[in-house]
Parts: sequence; C-alpha cells; structure tokens
Amino acid sequence: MKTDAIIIGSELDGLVAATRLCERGYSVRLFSTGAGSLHYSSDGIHVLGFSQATNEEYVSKPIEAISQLNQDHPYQKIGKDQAIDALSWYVNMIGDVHQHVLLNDCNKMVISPAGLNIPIYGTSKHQATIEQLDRENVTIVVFRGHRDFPAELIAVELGKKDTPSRVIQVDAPSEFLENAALAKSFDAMEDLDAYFATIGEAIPPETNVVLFPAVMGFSRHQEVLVTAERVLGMPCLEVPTLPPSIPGMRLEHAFVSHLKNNGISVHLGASISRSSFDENESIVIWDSMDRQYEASALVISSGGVLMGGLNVDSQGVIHETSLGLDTYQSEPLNAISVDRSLHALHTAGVETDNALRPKRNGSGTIQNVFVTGRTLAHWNPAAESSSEGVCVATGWAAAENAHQYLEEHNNG
Amino acid sequence: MPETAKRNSDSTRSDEVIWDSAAVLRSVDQCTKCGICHAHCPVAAATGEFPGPKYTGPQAQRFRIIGSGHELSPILCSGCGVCTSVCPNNVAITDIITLAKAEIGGHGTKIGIGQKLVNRPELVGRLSGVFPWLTNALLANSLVRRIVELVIGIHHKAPLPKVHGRKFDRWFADLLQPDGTPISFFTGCAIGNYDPDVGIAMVRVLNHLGYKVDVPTDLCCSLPMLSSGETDAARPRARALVDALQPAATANKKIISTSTSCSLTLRSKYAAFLDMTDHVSRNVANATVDACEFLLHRHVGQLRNTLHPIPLKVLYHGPCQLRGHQMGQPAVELLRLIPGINLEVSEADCCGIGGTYGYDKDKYDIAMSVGKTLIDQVKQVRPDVIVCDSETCRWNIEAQTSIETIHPVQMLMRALDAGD
Repeated sequence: MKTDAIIIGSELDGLVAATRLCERGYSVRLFSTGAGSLHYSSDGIHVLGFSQATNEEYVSKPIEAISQLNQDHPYQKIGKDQAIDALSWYVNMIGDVHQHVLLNDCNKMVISPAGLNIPIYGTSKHQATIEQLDRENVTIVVFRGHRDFPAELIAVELGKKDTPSRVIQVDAPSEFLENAALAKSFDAMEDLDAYFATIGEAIPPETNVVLFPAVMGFSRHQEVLVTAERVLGMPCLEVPTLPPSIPGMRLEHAFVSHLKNNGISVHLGASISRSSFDENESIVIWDSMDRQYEASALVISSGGVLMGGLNVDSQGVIHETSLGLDTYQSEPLNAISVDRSLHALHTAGVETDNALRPKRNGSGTIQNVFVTGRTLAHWNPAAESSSEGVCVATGWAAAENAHQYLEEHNNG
Repeated sequence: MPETAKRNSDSTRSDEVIWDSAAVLRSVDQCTKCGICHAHCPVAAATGEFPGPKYTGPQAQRFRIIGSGHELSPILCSGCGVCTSVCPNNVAITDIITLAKAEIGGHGTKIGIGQKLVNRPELVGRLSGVFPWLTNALLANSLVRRIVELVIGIHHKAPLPKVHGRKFDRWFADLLQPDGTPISFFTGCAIGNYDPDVGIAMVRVLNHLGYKVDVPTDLCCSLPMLSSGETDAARPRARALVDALQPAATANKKIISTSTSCSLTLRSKYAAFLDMTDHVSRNVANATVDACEFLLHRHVGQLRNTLHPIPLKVLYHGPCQLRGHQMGQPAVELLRLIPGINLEVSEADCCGIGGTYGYDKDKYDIAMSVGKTLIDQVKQVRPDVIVCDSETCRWNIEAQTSIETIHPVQMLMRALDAGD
C-alpha cells in the first residue's frame, strides 16, 4: 500500500499539510491516535501575541515581529515570507472549506473563556473582539445551567474597558448542558426564529451587541447566528467556552470531511507500532494491528505532550513517540523551579533543520521526513499565543518541502 | 501507555502488541480527563441516562477495582467505539465499558430473554430457517411484532433480517471452482442464515481473483454475547470457533470475513474480553482479515483493470467496527476504483443500531436518535444504492430508508459483471 505521503497526527498542522499535498495532486494517507488539540483551540488564528523579543506589552504587528524571534523558532526556520504565503493560502482554503477568516492589519484582542484579553491576528465573522465591543452596550447570554461559560468574568473584564454589560440567563434549547449537546441542539432546531424571538424578550432595550457562548451549532452555526442577528436586530457574536471547544471541533470536522471527500484515507484511532526507513528511501510504517503502509514522504504532526506526540520519561527527558526522532530540551524537567520546568516543557520538541527535517540517533538529517506544529522544539504556544499561526505555517511549509522532495525523487 | 501495549519504534519487531483485559484496564491510567470522548459520544447526546464514556469508562473503573457493586450505566453504551477512536491517549474506553458489562453480568444483573435470543443468531437462524417463508411472514406482521416486544422485549420496529434457509450453503455445494490459491472464507452466522447474497458475491470475487475458496465453519463469533455481558456463555463458543479455524491458519491460508464485526472479534476482542492470547488463538487472529482490507492491500491493480463502469449515485457508510480495526475505510478506496461511480461518504459516526443494541425495546429510541444524522444525509443525497460493510447496520439502514443497502463486495461484483 504505497502513497506519496503519510501524515501522522490530526493536529491543525497535519490537516493543513494533508490538504496542501492533496491540492498538489499527491496521494495521502493520514493516521491519528485520536482527535487532535483543535478541541482546545478557540476560533481564529493566533499568530504571535506575546514575545520578549519586542518591547511591547503585547505584539501589535505579529508578522513584522517574526524576524525578531529566536533563530531556532519555527517561524524563523521557515522564514517570514513563507509564513505570509502559508497564512494567505490558509485563509483562502478555509473560506471555501469551512468559514471565512479575516486577517487583520494588526493584532486585535479576543476574549478568552476566563475573560482575559488575548491578541489575535485572524478572526472569523462572529468571533467577539474587544475592539468590536468598544462603546457598545453588551448583553451576555448564558444558557441556564451551562457551566462551561464563565460569563461573569467576561463582564468584569468588559467593565475594565468601561464597556457596559450584563449577564442574562435564558432557557437552554436542550435537556443536556454540555457544550457539544448545546451545539447539537442548535443544529437540530426547527424554528430558530421563534427561539431567538423568545430570547429577544429577555434582552434589555439599551443593548446593541449580544454575546453568546460559542456553542451555537456544529454544522449550521453561521445560519444560526445570522438568524439571531436578523431576529434581534443587532450583532450577535460568539465567545469561546471552556473546552472542549466547539469552534475547534467544527474546524476539525470540516477538514476531515474535506479530506475524505477528496480521496484521502483517514485512519482515526490508529497508532504507529514501528517504522523502517533509510535516508532517501521510501518509508514503511506498521500500524498497531501490523498492517504495512509505505510512502515516499512522511509528515509528523502528532502534537506535543498533551496529545501524545511527545512523552516525558521518569528522568524528565522528552521523547518523540512515533519514530523516536532526536529532540531538544533546554533542561530536564524537575520540580525545583516550576517556571523553568514549564518553559523547558513547552519549548521542548523535535530538533530540525530549516526545512523541518529531523534526525534520528544523532545520524544525518532524514531527507523525506518533515516535522510540524507542537512536535517541534523552540517555541512556546501558550506563552506566545501563537498556536494556530505556527501550526498553519509549519504544516504548509512541510507540505511544500515534501512536494519539492517528491518532485526530485519521483522521476516525474 | 500500558506496559504490555507499549509501542516500539524500532524497525525490528520484538513482541506482538496484544491488548488483553489487563492491558485494557491498565489504560485507565492514561486518561487525562480531557473530555474529548464525551464530546463525541452519540449515546450521551441522545439520553441523559448515560453519563458518558469518560465517566462510565476510565473514571468509574477506578471504583470497580475496589468492587463498589451494581451500576447500570455500562449497559447503555452501544459499543460504537467513537470514544476510543478519538482518545488522544490510547485509553481503550469502549473495551473498559464492555468488560464492566461482563462484571455486572457476573453480579447477577439479569440479561433479558430477548437479548439472550439475539445473542444466539445462529440458533435463531437455524430454527426460523426451517420454514423461512413462515418466519418472514410472521415477522412482517405488526401484531406478531407487538406480541414479541411484550413477551421478550425486542422492539416491534427493530430491523430484523429476513431469513433465507440455507441458500448460500446450497449454492456453494453446487459450485464448481477452478483451481487456484487456497483461501478460507469465514461466513459467520449471517451469510448462512440471513445474508446469502453477500457470501455469493465474496466467493465470486475471490474466484475472479484466482482463489479457490473453502468454508471451514459457520459458527457464530459470539460478539453479541461479549458486548452485552454474557461472557461465560461466550467462552466455550469462542474456543470452538478458534479450533474450527485453526487448520486454515496453520496451513498459512488467509481467513476472509465479510463481517467487520466477526473479523474484529477474532482479531482483537477474544484477547480483550476472554484473554485468549494463546498461540492458537493468536495464529487465527493474525490469519483473519476483513474482505475489503484484503482486496485493497493485495488486489487494487487487478481490480482496477477489470471493473466496469457503474454510473450510480452511491452513499457509503463506514460501520463502527472499522474504528476498532484502525484501518480507515478501505471500502471507500475500493469503490473509487469503479469507473463512473458517483460516491458520497457518510458524515455520520454511527447508524445507531450498535449491533443488537437497538433491538432492545428500551434502547430502540436512543438508537434511532443516534442514527438521525445518517438518515438525514440519505434524505439529502438520495442515493441509488447505499453501501456498508456490516450486516446489522445494513438491515437498519435499509429498514429506515427503503433504499437497497449492500456490502462493498456486492458492489464490486456488480462492477465485474457490468461488462458481460
């Protein structure tokens, strides 16, 4: 069973790499132990929110700040120009496959589930930003009994910006009150107009923007929100909830469905048990039920420690789990200094060259394996608020580098 | 990762990875309580009675270890396996819940007579197959079905299959096969009793590809028993089946199965639920292969050159057991080889029926609610034919949509025949 490429992992970067390779006409197979960390990702694209390299409280122009980052940072490895290409390709592609995302001139502030302001570069149409709420009168809607949406914290944060707001409780559209159950009930709702008309009665007349938790449907959230806006006569925006994130799940579903419909085989729930490869030759992997698959190029997008792409041994040393690739970490993880350990944990990962190619057992660079996203070392998604940006940029760059390799080695 | 299930990234293989019941239960410790399984569980979305896979699986398992007694929630799990497939940390959630069902059974919680009957599909098939026309006529009568529901608890709308007597046996006995590579076909309970045409198509496809087919046994794999907690009754039956298939495995023959659930049971569930990890059982497990997986891995080139165009709109629904097989959807890749086919792939995780889960009068409504996504997609796509690898899913989908629903090898057979 040979394909041009195999992707390991269904993180955003793996889905991006698979989509790009498919678009270039390659046969692709994707293996993933489980669903990826998009379940923790809110909406939009965080490119670079915070950096010690700039003197700002937060980064206002993330693309310009890329060249000030550490030389080993994934953005630096692929270069600013490729990062720009990757982001504009992504915005076009995702507009077709899922929903429109707008790249802004500079970072805006998005509201986190804990009410914090987080810089964000690419936003979707119904994603609430602080800028949109400036000088508005805001009502935050809570579905009675829904515990994953701390609306009061959001109201406090808006208060600090002198934005008047209040929280109102309305009846939930479903019997069950988890994020996913609420989203499904909006998908199934027959009379959206009637439902939002009832909500309208509870909204104080001075309101001119309504915030909902980001659970307004899985597959028809845009229709749901547009209907809400029409019925209520004002902008209706979503604010992320605590995990699992419905916007992230929407995105993952849209990707997987797009890949399947374009002939890519997705092996969900499959792990890699062993592999065999030599430099410049095709790669063979075996799944956990000992089926053999062969590919000319491999992309490793299996995530960090949380998603099992990396693990930590009892000595506090980081390992890459699918192929045993060489890793970097600033120091062993220990309990002596939590801050230093956390930094070491977040920035640990696979060491690569600028083409995202790793090494194994200290030998030469492997020419046809490319590593992306959180599996990579030298970046800190949490502290930088750069997760989606790095995943999109490295996923796209890995696909382009694999393309270059395949062109050179497939004899046409 | 649990120790026995540790992955090895070296190219030299040390020991085979076997998930026996100890490994399944040890995987509890891999759970980070991320909640992804719960967000995807179709049963938790359909009923408030089921607390969801995170709770009923790894969380409650810690208390089962200290023997906290009776609980009902595992029974409500349909065993679809979505939770296990989306878990980023290799927790064998569905198998943990299934083992809990067995433990509840061991504590004397009653398994109803209706469930016990559907747990013995080969027995039911044999009895009702004596006068198939009579059985079919009776089961088509709604009054009879109401009485059946009242007496033994099988829902009056549950999609029971038609019985066919021994149509496949008679056809196969008269078949003159050309010489070829020997291969075994494990028909299970379905082909002989309920689904003869799938068996006929499979044998014909294998003959076309140069195989000489033998049918070593028609014993039942006993998955319905295993997934409803009748573990002790399943044990001797599983041993008998492995013994019946052993000669084929010893002769290095592949054992082909058209039922994704029977093949999954042989390959991994006897180890997980019955700890059958002995040499003979593992040999049989490793020789067993799903029909579509086999065709995809061995015969893509040959099929591509011999399939004729079928200009039909086809909706493919991948059954839940494919997740347990961890092999993607090989049928999709095979169907795409058919020229002119207009193929749509199901967006639904599960058709709802969950093997025999939805037959129960108390679970039928949950099953229908779970299956709604698929039925809605069928209404929107309006396919000419629906294709699905698993028998109970096919019966359910056909009953609900009135659209012909066939196995992928039947579609391939039609494409091979189309040129004649």
